[in-house]
This record gives sequence, C-alpha cells and structure tokens, in this order.
Amino acid sequence: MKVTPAQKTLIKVRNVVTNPKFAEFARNTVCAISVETTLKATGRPAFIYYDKNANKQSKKYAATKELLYQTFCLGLYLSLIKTFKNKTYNFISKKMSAKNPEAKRKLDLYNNFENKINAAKDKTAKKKLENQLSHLLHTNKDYHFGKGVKELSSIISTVFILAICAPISSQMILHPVMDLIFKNDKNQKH
Amino acid sequence: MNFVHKLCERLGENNKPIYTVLAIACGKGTVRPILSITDKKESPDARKYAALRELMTEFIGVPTTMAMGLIGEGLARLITKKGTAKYKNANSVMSFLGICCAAGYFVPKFCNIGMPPVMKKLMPDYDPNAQVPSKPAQSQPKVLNKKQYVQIYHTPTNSPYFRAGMRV
Repeated sequence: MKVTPAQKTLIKVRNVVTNPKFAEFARNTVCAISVETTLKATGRPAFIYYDKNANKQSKKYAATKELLYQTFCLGLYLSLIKTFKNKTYNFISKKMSAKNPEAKRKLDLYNNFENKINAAKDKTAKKKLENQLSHLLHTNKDYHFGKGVKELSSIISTVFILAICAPISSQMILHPVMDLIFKNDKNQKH
Repeated sequence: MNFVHKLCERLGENNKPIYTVLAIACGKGTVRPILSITDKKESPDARKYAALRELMTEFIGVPTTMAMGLIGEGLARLITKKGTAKYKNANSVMSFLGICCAAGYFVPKFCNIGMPPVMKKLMPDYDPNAQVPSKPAQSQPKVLNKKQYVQIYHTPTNSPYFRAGMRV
C-alpha cells in the first residue's frame, strides 16, 4: 500500500501527539503553566502593541507593563513553586494520613517509589524507574492517589502564587519600575 | 471517601492543565480588579476603568481557554481511537496545545476585538487614550526690591483707603 505525503505528515503528527513523554509534560502542572505564562508574556504585549485603536504612547506603555508583569509572574512562579509545592504536599498528606489509614498506605506507596527514583545512582536506572512509575500510574489504581495529592498541591501553590502573590507584589515592584522607564512621558500614560 | 480524596484520585488518573489555568483565571479575575480599584495613586475613573478592563479580560479569557481546551480534546478523538492508552495521551497533549493557542493568540485577539466596544458602553464618558493635561508651571514668587514693594503697596492719595489702615 502506498502512503501519500499527507498521510505521512498525519502519522508524524499522531506520533508526536500520542508520545507518552509529551503527555507527561502536558499533565505536569508546573511545566504546563510555565509554557502558558511564557506564551502570555509574548502574545499579550504583541497584540497590545499592534492594536490600531490605541495611541502610540499608551500602546507602548501598556505593552511594556504587560511584558514586565508576565515576565515577573514567570520568574516569581519558577522561584517559589518548589518550596510552596513541597510544603502544601506535606500539609495535605499529613491531614489525609491522620484521617484515613487507607490514604496513608497509598501515599506511602507513592512516596517510597519516588524516594527510590531519587536515590537511583545513575541516569539509566533513574530513567528505568521513571518509566516503571509511569506504567504503574496507568495500570495500578493505588498509585493514583499519591500522584493526585502531588498534583493538587501543585495546583493550589500555582493559584496562590500567580493569582494572589504575583498581583500584590507586582503592584509594589512594577509601579516604580514603570515610573522609571516612562519618567519623561508620565503625563501621557493614559 | 470525601470530596478531596475523590478529587485526588481523579487528578492522579488524569490531570489536565485546563483545571489549573481556569483556577488561575478565576483567582486573577477577583484579585486584580480589587487591587486596581484600591490603588490610590490613580484617579477614580482610571481605577474603575482598569478594574473593569481586568475583569473583562478574565471574562473573555475563561470561556476562550475552556473552549480551546475542549476543541483540542475533540480533535484527539479524530486522531486516535477512544479508550486506548494513546487516546489518553493525545487527549492531554491536545488539551494542552489548545490552551497554549488560547493564551498566546485567541485570548489577546478577542480582547483586542471585544474590549473597546464593551468598555465604551460601560464607561462612555471615559477616554483612556486622552492625554492628561499637564499642570501649568507654577511661577516662582519674585523677590521684590524696596522701591517695587513701595510701588505695589502704596495707596494713592485719592483712594478711599488712603490712611485708612487697610493694606489690601
């Protein structure tokens, strides 16, 4: 059977889309949000800058502000997420384990496997264990809970950093920076 | 099994980035307008305008992101057969790509198209592009010498206030 060029492209697209590594990346909250914030940092300022309705000075001001805000968000997110995530995970897992012995068993199962991956001596052994965990997550339901608690703590930390911390701290930091950049044109910023 | 336990099981089985993105959008949609409206450095109209604009951005952003994520998941059905492991992977990846498209292109595009008419309706008297009139430079008080001082405050003899003790 002859494969047309269009079919070849489709097969390539299917291979990329169904790639387990790519799927794991997409399911990872931190990776997905980092990519999304990077896209926001490029897309939003670009659209503001090429908006035909606004005047040149206000476009420049708004685009710079949005670029700085999104870049600030990304920096803040990447620097804080690990600490916040671990603290939230410890808090949730302690609460869950205290209430439910079954939850404790599932959490210990997941944590032991994660510790095993972290303690692996070389890269090949680590990769092998990671693949094993990925397979277990699809086949063994007991591992879902541990992974779910980890993802829930990621989501809670992400929302806390990006929706609460970032706007508050950006107001304190971004205003003086914007004033410094647009010192001479301050009267034209609206 | 309580709600949090069920939620964790569900997230562990299949975590979609759309959940986090929507949660962030809802959080931003409440926090950013509150911060804008309480910013005392700006004029009341500018504060109100900024808060409404931020709220509108999230109003446009939430359904757009949700729709793009769902479209992505729908496309996954065309690529692979439902129920297979490959379908699960394709579902997550396509949903993620849909969200990326929404964040980088569709949300700012729709905001650019939809925001000006809506804002014009909500605040018809406020023009965000209007330049703030610059304050007239305050003239420095001149230092007068004795002769000039006498000339200014000298009351003419024909004035009704002459020697009346009034120096107005």
